[in-house]
Amino acid sequence: MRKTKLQLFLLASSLLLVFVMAGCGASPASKDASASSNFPTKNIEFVVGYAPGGGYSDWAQAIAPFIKKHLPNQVNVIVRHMEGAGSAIAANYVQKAKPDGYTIGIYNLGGLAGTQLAREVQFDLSTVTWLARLSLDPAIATVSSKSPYQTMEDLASKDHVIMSTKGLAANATLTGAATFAEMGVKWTPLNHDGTSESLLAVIRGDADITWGSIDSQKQYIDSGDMRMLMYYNSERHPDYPDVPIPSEAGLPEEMNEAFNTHRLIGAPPELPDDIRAILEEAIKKAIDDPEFHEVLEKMEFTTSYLNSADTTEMVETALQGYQNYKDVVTELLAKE
Amino acid sequence: MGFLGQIDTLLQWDYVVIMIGAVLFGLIIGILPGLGGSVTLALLIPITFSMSPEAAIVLLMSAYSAVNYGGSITSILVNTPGDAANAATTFDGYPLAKQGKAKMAISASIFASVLGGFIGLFLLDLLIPVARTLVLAFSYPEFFMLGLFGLTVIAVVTQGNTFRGLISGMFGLMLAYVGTDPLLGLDRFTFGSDYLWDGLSLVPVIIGLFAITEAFSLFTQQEAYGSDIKVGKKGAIEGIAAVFKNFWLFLRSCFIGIFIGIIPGVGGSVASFLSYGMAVQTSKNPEKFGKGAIEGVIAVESANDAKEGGSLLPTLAFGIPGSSAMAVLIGGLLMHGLAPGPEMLTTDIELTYLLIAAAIMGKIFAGVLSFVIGTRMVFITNIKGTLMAPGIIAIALVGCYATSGNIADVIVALVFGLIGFYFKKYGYSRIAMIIAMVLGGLIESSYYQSMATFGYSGFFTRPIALVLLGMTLLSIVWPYVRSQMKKSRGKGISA
Amino acid sequence: MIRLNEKSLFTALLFVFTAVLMWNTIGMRSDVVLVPRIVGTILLVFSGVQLLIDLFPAIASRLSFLSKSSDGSSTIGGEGVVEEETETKEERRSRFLFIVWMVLFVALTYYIGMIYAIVVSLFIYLKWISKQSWRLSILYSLITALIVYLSFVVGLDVYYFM
Repeated sequence: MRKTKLQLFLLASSLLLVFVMAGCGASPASKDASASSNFPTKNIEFVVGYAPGGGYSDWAQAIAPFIKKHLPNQVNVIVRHMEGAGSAIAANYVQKAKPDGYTIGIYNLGGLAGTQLAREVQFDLSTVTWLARLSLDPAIATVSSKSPYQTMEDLASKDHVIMSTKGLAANATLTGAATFAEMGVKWTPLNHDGTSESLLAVIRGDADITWGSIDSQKQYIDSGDMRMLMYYNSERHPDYPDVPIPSEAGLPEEMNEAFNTHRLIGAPPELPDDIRAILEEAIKKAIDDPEFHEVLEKMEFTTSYLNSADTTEMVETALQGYQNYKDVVTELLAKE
Repeated sequence: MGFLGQIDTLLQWDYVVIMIGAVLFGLIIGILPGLGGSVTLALLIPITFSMSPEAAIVLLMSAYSAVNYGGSITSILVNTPGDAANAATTFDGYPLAKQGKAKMAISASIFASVLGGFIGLFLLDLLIPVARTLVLAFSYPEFFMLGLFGLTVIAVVTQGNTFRGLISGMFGLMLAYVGTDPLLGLDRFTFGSDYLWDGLSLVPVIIGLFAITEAFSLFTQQEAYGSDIKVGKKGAIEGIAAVFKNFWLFLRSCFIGIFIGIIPGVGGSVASFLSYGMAVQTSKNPEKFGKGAIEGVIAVESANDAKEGGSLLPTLAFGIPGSSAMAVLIGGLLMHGLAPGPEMLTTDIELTYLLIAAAIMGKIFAGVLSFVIGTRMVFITNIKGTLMAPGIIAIALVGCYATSGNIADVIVALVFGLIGFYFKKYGYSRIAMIIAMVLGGLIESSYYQSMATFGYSGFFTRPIALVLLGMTLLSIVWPYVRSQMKKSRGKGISA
Repeated sequence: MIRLNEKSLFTALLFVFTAVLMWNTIGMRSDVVLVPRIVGTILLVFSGVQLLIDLFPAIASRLSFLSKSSDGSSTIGGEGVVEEETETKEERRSRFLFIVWMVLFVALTYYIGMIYAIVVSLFIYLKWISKQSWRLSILYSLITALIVYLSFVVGLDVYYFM
């Protein structure tokens, strides 16, 4: 008799536990997303396509609390790392997510545009709902500081240049390939599967030159291990006034900005306009927040904000620019 | 010994609180399977935003120091490695637990880890002046030879049936080729799935091969899988004594760990497999390995922790991460305006010493805490197998799913659980397969890289590559030489 | 005489896996697939031989040096030791049941979330596969789920577990 009572009690209490847990889990999810007028009503998922510790992850983790602060209902913005395939997995995920504003992602425009060109992928950058551009990360060409090459022209005289790469379809490789194609330099790739290995190859002297984004290589330039030979932008970098931009070195002017990579925030295609406006507003306010600027300063990040409409236009131009260099990619991958 | 000066800075009470909290956090994450050092650091980085750079270093380093310990506890008790680097701990740790010597195994592994970690950091301190030269001395031909040398471990572990061992190894190699090819960086054998672009991830594969496969043999057992606990209260002391009994082995494993750590681009799990292989090869009776040889646990764990000291070296010298977790750590430091790199050896040297001191103190705290927790968790081995099996499956699947929330990881773990089961049943070698899978990519990519930079001559003209080649040849020939010697000696005795 | 059993089936799968990868290399740049082709060819031959051994016992006796299996005492880690076929029909049935259960677990994780999957599948296992008491089955599955819930969902913010 006593035993059955105990069993009943346990059964009842455990059932209670199930309901409590079910309640916890179900309450945020059960609310319908269609009520966009009071968006947002639940936590927003902010997808990062790279491993923690990189520039994209740092940006996302830094800005997420400030987006939360400026959203109408102050719901949490949770950063989710979905690393792999050069952020293509995350881009596919956001592309296929429900366009309800509860899934947004941080994008690497240069990297993903290259991927879209060279591989079969599910995402399509021209259909993504762009919310903002956070920052601009121009491409640069670097050599080892011990290297005899002082300018890009010095390389032209060499008959066999080794370029350290991280995947032949990568944005950086494309930049280098297009530059060398214009200059008529013959080169061979030395491929790696990580950025740091490909940089070390240059420092070690195994490779002659590498291309990359300035954020990923700045620390090596500042530490004196590497030297910048070219800076891809419309004007010279204020901190490195001696480094020429492509048009000054006799390269076509459209190369100046064609390969810049941008940090963008995007949402699934066909996001309703009212939700897009709420998110855009929150991101803009976050970027203008003086507290956020303190964080950025500490991390030595700079912003280069563009609103939703301008970002969309910029992406379109950039994608067209990449289309022009499609031949370079196909040639690169067909080479035996 | 510049870091000694920083130890009393660390003994301020606020740092101590941070350290204990961080170590506990790291331990818990380490015990949860599938979540390793990089996840721990990633979770902690947002917390450090509001901290001073010094406090951030202390927090990140001590949490990071603790992760490995948690992983080795579950490897020993339930055959579930927390991370790829812990996989080799299961080879001997779990059989020891089955024999009721879990307490001894845990204390030996923790003690070897702490001491190994010390030696790693101590040597790091000594090597700082030559850090840059040392890191630059290794290039592609050395990576290639190191990969080949690692493969010889397969020859050692497959003496049961060399033919099926070779099949297992080549199966592992083929799996390593799935993903991105090293020449173009495009997808290969991915069958249209973006999940496979980066290759099969190691953690779900290892969890499947070891944890889930083990659940198969447990679920029908009505009795506890650890037989009566034979080593009772003395177990802990016996474990520590075992490290001293095998001190030479321990030192050698430390050196292997540091050596692998220094070379960026060679995965950390290589260190533990290599030192396990070395321990087997140099043992007088190699046949006891895999059935509960405490030497196996000591070799793996000491190499594992000594490696951390080594992998800090490229980080300090160039700001280039020596491992994936180190990459996250660098990211964390950068957010505080610290640039890991040459400046850390000159202007910021005090911070570097703080980093080393924090790692050492973290290891001490982690050692004590995991000793207390780990030896109390031994009761798990007294649970009936049929009850243990679903628990193991649950935590294994949870671990796979937690890392990135991708159901594909869970499916991979399940599939490899089945493969592991049949491998075990039909006499193939799981160890050979996993070693080949870890090294396959390294060997292929470094071959192409060597050819692009040095050509064939690179393999035979560089002294370090030649030494590694010599060691490879020696370790292939050695087992035959030894068995011949044994035979002739046996004849001598019988005659 | 052909011996068709789990063992030969498994070897056949290994063989087919390799064959599929090799088939996949057709049409790819030859330098990209050079190493996989070399390894794959050897593996194809080896697993083919193993398949023949498993399928035809007559061959096995002739190639006995390939299927020699040392006893546990002289091998390292018990690797390469073929377990003796002592499994009864019942044991085999329950093993397949266990596999089906694991697949169910994974499917539930996908469809209803990790936490609920743990509750449901652990309960199914304990009550019907392992035949434990009601009390133990309910408590075990609930406590496991609760621990996972507290440490991951509450502690680590892993919201996709629900």
